[in-house]
Amino acid sequence: MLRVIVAVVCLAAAPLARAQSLSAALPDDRRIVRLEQWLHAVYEHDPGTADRHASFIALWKGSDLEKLLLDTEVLARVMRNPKLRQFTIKRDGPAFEIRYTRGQVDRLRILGTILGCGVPASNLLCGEAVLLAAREPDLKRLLTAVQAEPPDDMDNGVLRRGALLHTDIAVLVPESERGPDDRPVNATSILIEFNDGQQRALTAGPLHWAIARMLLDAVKPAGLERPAPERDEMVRHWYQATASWLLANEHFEETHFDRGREIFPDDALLQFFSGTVHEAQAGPRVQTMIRGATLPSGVTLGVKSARAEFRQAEGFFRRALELDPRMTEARLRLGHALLMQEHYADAATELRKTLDPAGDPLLQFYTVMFLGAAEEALGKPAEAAEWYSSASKLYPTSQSPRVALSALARRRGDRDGAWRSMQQVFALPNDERDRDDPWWTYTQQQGRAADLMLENVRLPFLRK
Amino acid sequence: MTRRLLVFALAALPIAATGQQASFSAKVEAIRVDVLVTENNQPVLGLGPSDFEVFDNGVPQKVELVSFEQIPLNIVLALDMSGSVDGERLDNLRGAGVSLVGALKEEDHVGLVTFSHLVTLGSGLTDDFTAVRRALERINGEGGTALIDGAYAAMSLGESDPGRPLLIVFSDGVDTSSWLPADSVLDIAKRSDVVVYAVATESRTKPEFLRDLTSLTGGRLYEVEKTANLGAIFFKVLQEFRQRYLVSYTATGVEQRGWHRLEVRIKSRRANVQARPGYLSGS
Repeated sequence: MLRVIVAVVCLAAAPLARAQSLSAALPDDRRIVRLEQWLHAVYEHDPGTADRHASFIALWKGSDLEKLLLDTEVLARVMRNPKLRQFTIKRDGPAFEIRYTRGQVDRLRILGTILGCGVPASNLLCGEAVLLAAREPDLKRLLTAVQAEPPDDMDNGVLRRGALLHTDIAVLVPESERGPDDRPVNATSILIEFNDGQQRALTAGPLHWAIARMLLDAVKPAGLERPAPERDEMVRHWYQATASWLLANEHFEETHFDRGREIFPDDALLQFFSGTVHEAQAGPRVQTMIRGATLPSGVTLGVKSARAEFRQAEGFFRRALELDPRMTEARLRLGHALLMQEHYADAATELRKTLDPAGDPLLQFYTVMFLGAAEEALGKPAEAAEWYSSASKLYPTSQSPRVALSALARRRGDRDGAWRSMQQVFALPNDERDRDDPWWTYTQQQGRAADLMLENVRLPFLRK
Repeated sequence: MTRRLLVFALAALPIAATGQQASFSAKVEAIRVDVLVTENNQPVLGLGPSDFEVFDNGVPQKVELVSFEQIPLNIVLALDMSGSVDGERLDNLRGAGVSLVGALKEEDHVGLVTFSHLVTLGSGLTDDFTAVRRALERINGEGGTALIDGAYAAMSLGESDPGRPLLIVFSDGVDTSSWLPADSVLDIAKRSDVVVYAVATESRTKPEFLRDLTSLTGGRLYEVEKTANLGAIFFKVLQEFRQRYLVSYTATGVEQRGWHRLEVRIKSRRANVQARPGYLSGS
């Protein structure tokens, strides 16, 4: 399955409500009830599982999640500053204000105060909130959960755990077990789903990742006055792990990668992952699908021409190598991007630097296959054949090196040699389970450590 | 076409005073062109060498031989077995393959290549039609689409045996998994004898590779909305191929190497002639 994200969401504006102090709750207010249900799910969710809390939130409709996105952003601000009266949201479009009723604002302040009890400036209000919580079981449950967080990171708990909850929904809850997305598809964020080259679905952009990103934007490391996600290692590791997962699953959601780089511009891994997004989008697979995509009127795709995408990929790989010259995989993919731009000699130079007989066989396979293609284009068929042959030895049941050898021989006029190599292809096992060809998964392999990376991000938040 | 017949003509030279014997070889290329001649969409039959005019890079050539329905066919079916081919579509594809095999002559041979992201040999070229029918019964759709690799593998199978190779490709999707770039296989097609016919299901993504491949080999591309009539199309392809002429000439007055532009005409008739647009010599 292949998904392509093409734009960003633009949300509607609403006027502002005013609020002054902590007062009566609004248990029958649907919007607030939903927000409180979400808060309980956040604290009770067991990270790394599709438990009942994740399943519950996953069933919410797209329009409800969109409201949740706004409400949680407001809540995060109120948590930092319970006296806040105006809620102006700035996303990709123009800024807009959200209007709440007085009762809604009061409840948001209570919730925000409880969540932010670790913030010294809110101590007085915190005491007030604790008194209110003593009278209301749901608030008490929330307060207990907040206070169970590490003391120096208590106010970030809802943000981190909320991000993990939505990550788990995006990663672990199957599409079939999620609520319907009732948002119009004419929004500026669109998700296109392809399967075997055919367009299968066109929906509004995914919200779980957007909610998670927004929550982590508000993370404020201990000792700092303002949110500073760029100073937080959990946020960095979350971006790395989720980027890896998105790539492993061919979800080319550029917004996610852009935001990661915006926060961590000097992170070699995020630069590398961004390069692989463009590398995949440059490939014939995405390019062909994009040409045949059916889009709503007025919508254009963010995917550029193959050459332009490879050029962008090259830029990201070069930047990754500036930041970490030992990143072999970035150099390998730089070689591939150069190869595909027909800079064959430069490609061969970079690829030779990644040759390492004792290295990871997977990366060596790609290296020698691309070196073969570069040498073939440089008019060195004997060298090309040697590289392809070495690839076939690294993966004895792989198809692509043998196909490459056959075509190389055939183009040289060696029909017998071409047929011999093709016979080797035909002699491979018919069952896919008995074959192993890394070429088939080239556009996903950069995300092969995603599960482990996600586990590491979740580790400090697991239930004891 | 362009199966080159290399004729080594050895000419004896007078024995030199030293007693050493010298010899040389001369290479003569016999070019074969598969040609379909139609008038009002009906095949024109009964033509002989004198009816054809062949121009190789603009240079008129002497047509030496025209065969019609004399050479057994080597038919290779290359079928897309990716994940999108299932249910009724798969049944139709199987049925079409079995029908085609049923329409072959005893002296013909047939082979089967299937491709998802895996390229597999269902059957080598054989006159055991029952075995091929059994192979067709076993096919199942799953995975990505390595159309370019699959088409190349099937061309290789078609070339692997002397005879008159016809490749019929069916695909319902775009290439998602091939190693070979399209240009590489199109380049090989220019050097090959195989005539490629293709059937592609209609979609917003144009089957550019199949269009180019069929055009370069003198075949034809069918774009179909549904697969219900696939059997009839396969049969039509077979009938059309049997009604083609195999025109042979020895290339003279032209450079040996490189791309040769071909033009085939029928003298004194306004017939429609379908043949490959050229060939790449030296392969």
